[in-house]
Amino acid sequence: MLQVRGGDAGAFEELVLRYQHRLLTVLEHLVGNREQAEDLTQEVFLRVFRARDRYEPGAKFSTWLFTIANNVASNANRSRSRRREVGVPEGSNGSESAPLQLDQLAKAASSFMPTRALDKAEQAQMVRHAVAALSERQRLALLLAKFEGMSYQDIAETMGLSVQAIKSLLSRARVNLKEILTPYVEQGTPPDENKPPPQGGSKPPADDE
Amino acid sequence: MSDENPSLAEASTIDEELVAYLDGELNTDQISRIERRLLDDPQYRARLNQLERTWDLLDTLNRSQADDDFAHSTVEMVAVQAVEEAKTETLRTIRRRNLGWVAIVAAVLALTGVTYGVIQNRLAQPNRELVRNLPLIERVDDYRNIDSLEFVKELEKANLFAAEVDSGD
Repeated sequence: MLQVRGGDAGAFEELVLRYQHRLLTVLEHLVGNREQAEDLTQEVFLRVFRARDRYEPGAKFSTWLFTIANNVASNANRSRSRRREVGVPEGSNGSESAPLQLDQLAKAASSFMPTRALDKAEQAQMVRHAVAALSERQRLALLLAKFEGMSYQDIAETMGLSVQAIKSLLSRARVNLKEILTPYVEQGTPPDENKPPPQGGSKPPADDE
Repeated sequence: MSDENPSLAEASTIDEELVAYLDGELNTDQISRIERRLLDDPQYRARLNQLERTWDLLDTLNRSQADDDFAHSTVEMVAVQAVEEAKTETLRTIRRRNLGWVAIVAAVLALTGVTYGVIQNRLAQPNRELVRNLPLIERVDDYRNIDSLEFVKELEKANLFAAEVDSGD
């Protein structure tokens, strides 16, 4: 990053190569759409380039990078919410990840695998939908912990929250995931459609603050 | 957890500590305490197992792989943006420099104006003095005939020529 700060274009390309997959992974699971995640990843790198002079050598680069990614994704989600408010229809892309409810999860899994065979693809589909059902902040904290292996301290810095808040947020996220996925884990079936979902019905799981 | 129905707050605290335990965010004392309880409390152990299994399920999520040309197109896009921004910055610099020149010219003009005014003022000063002293100049021949100023003052006090002064002579 110091070389990038010094205007080394090769170093910037190296940086992109090194972090593109990690950034894309987190952003894709965060926004639930590959194409948008790619756009956002490029936007993040553009911001990194623009802000290269403000990078402090002592700071951990990945924390700084994901802080920018968090801002970019939040802005994108806000824009998407505004578009929804003014009635612009969302794309009909099935991978869009507006928070899904349990009945949708069950339907998604059932239609995906008519024979109810419990294979990896179905499992991944269930887990993806369960993650999408979390609140944005829970999802980001969870993804940073899982995919980036970040400590609570680093996640707190990335998200601009206290360590205690992250502890609660991650606990909530994991409990919510457990509630959603337990029927699947224990019985190998999608959650019962008639059973009320966790966290009080059809509302998306609440954050802990 | 041995308690059949822990309160929501208790359950939340238990979940927080179990999650922190799984994430390796506890100190040695806390780890020992939790591990002792795990040995003694089957419900506590079951909760940990559930949380752990759910966490492990996240491994099924795919890790995205960017296309081969993604890095190249990203760098290209950033380069194009950087060029655009450099152009904008250059224009801004030129505009700033032009504004600087305008400010300098305006300052020079203002200074010239002020200097001109001051010089004009200075040049007009002798004339103003002459005008101020005009009554004296007009009678300078009369005043030359006076030997003593004290004598004139005495005459004024005596008021001998009041009639002439009043009539303006």
